[in-house]
Amino acid sequence: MKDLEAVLEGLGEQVGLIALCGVSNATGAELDIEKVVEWKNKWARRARVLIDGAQLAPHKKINFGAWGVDFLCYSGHKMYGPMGIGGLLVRREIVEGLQPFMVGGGMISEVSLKKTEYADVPDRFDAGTPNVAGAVGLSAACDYLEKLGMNEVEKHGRELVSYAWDKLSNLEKVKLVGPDPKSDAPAYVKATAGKRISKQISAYAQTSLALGRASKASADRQNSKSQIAKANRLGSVAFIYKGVHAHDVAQVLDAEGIAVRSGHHCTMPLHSKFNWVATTRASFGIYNDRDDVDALVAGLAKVEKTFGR
Amino acid sequence: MVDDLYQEEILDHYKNPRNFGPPPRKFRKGEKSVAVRESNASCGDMVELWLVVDGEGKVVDIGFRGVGCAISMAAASMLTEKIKNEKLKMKSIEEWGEAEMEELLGTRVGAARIKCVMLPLKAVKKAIEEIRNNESFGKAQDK
Repeated sequence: MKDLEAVLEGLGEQVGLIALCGVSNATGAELDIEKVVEWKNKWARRARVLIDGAQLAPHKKINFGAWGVDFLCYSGHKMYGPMGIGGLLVRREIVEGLQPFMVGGGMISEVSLKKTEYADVPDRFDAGTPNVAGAVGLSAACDYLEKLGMNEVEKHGRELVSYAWDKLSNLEKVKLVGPDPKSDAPAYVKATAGKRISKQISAYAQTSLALGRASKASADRQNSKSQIAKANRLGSVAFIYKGVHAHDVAQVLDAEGIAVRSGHHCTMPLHSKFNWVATTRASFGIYNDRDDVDALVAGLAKVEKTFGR
Repeated sequence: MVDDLYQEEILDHYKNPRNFGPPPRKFRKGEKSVAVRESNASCGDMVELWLVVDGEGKVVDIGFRGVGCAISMAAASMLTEKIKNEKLKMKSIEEWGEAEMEELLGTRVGAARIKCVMLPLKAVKKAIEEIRNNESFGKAQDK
């Protein structure tokens, strides 16, 4: 992630938009959003910051105002809501100056033959028949999560990721990808060690991965203490099972009643960069517990039984 | 379903793929060779397939290399084996579809994995198409 600062430093005021995943859907790496904003303020003050919060919203409280980001988007279906709806949070000063890119019914305040005056925010962006059912469902999902308490949800998620990381890193043929949740320092501090500047925005993910390896030793030392995961990964663990393609891993797990995602996770350039043929990802929700992680481990034993030599 | 899918024969083809390797360097007179690459972008499966066709439009040699799941690699092995052993004509291979591939594997694979099974067939068809696009070859003989 330190590389990101180098990119911002290099490009400076040329940067118009910094768009990053709050949590990587592929590796589970969690972005230090406040750090990004700090760097933006230092090197690229005119840039706007957009966070893809699809993987963030179900696991952590969104402190939109406090983080100081300009945009944050999220998906309903990733936070126990309906499919086909999501949200885009935009800082008020920005949204009030924006014009609609799509027009339709219900978005004007006044129209004459010569002039159109749009309605106030947010109506001016809601062209045509609204997705009422979706909106009601999404609202119910928000209420549901609020009722559970996002701090509790986050704690539960981090605890499970930490437990899963422990269990899976004990398996000889499993290579976990992404940062180690037990690492004792946040990603951006560790990553400074001997890393050369890369001019690629995507490098933050790479750095996190390098960290995952570098900090293995320190994690091993601390494995005896049951630590709660640090804020460098959230919601999921992704791995490669040596010698078995992710689709085959997923198929065997599926038969054991375990649903995982396998493949490129829509991040083919990332997979190409690290020469990963494909990865398997286990994502955790509020309904999962340690037994599910244990079932995953048992399922991987079945993978070994099917494919082991 | 998993036991059907990962039956012994499929696993054997996956672990010991037949016709796995590069194309020959020398060809007989009248033979035409072509190599293609086909991939399933969504899963990261990739197959490089080559075939040699004689003057009558029969596939006389075929092979592949690739990376992928057990199903796609076993399917490539089994398909190339069948084509090679039976010296199938290009025209009859072109008529193959999902049903023939599932019959070859001896199991139904389901919607999620059918693209793995079809990957090598797609590659074979692509290779045949390339051969046909070569005007001077294959057209007259294979009618």
